[in-house]
Amino acid sequence: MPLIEIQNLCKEYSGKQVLKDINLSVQNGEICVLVGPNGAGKTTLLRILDLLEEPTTGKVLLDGKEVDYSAKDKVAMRRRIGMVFQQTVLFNMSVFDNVAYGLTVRGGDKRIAEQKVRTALELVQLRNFEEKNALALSGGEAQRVALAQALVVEPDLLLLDEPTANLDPRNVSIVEEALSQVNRENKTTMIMATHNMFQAQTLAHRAALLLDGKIEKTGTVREIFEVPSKHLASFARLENVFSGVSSVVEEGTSLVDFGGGLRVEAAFTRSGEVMVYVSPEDIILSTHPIVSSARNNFKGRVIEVVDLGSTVRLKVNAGRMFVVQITKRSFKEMQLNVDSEAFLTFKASSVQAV
Amino acid sequence: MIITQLIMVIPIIIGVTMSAVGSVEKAIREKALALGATDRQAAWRVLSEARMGLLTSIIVAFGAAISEVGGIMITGGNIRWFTRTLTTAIVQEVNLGEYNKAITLGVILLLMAFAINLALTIIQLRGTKR
Repeated sequence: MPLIEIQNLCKEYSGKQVLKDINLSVQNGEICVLVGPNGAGKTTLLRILDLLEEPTTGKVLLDGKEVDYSAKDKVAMRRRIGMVFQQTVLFNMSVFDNVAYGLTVRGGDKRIAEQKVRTALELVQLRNFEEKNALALSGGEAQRVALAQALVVEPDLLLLDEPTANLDPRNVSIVEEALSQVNRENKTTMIMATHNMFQAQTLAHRAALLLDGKIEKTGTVREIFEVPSKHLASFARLENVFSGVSSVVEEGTSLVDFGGGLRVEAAFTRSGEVMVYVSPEDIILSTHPIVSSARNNFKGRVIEVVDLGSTVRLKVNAGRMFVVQITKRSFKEMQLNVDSEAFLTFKASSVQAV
Repeated sequence: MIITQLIMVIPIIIGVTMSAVGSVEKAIREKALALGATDRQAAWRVLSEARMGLLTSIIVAFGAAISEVGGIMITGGNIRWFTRTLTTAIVQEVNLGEYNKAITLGVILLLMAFAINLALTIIQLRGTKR
């Protein structure tokens, strides 16, 4: 049985339909990402799931039981759900008291609460911040406190509204690691709105594409992101999407000219202007040219290195900026650094028309 | 007379409090609710977050109350040991031509207002820095 099930849900604001006939179910322990442009209705959907707003029609089932939005006391239901807002809001009190707030309003043993707060702060790597005033924290630290606030109460369902949208890579990595650990160890079900393809691929089991208030497509993250649509490319933080002019060279392959002497061979037949996408996972990074069946080999220079914990993300300038993600072990063995020379190799079949 | 003072300062307190609470109300209330607070707990959280604004309303209302003359004269008169206040006493001393007394009372009034405002402002600044 799914933990949460949304059936024919619609939401209207003064006659304008913001959500149209939403049907979605999320299984226990699953991480589902909602992707869609700004104004698609992601935040509204999350707010309805957190009982902060009522749907106009349709229903939401939590553990098979219909959520009663007209009930005066929604507290019991809401206490099973945690939410992290995109805009960080913290109370004017210490970090410890902020994180403890959810436990304080529930009552219970203070010593257990203290232990839980410490564990939550360790999870978001803010162990020595307990006494600091929450309003004096940086944006990244504040958002990590907000995550700890939601996690400390051990919710069955965690709603995340673009929790890393305004964070730097280090803070993003800490948040992602915490979410991943909580999902793995506590089997916490999560629904997360995101624009970040890497985040979706790293964390989520399933994705739903929300366009103009409607769920256009649901499926695995691969299904949603690996064949990106023009629509997806227009809003999602998709790396390795390039536009160029394609010309058919022989049966089954085309040569796409990106300009500046950069040409990529693609396993499709199309002429004229095209937008293509190369999955960062399909690119092989090497310190020397490699001989293989892959049709595309480029020399470039490493521009940026971002440590994501177990993996490292590199931006390589090879005429165009390519993003490649490799394991930390490979990164160390290759002794790469900013300004190192690197070679990119990928197959013609990895180049997809958007 | 006390009722007059109340009627005169309540709109000030309500106005300043509303603007202080209104600036934090929605985001803080929703945050508290999302963390599992009841409506009452969330309302208390909002008031706590707006505490500096509430203090401002007290400072403004105190200023208005302590400097009031007309309303007190009309409703309370100026009866010694009973409804006489510093402000009405100043008016009376001026009317009697006792300017030295009037100025002395005026200085006392100013010092009192200054001391109380200073104390409240210090509390407010400490609260903001927390």
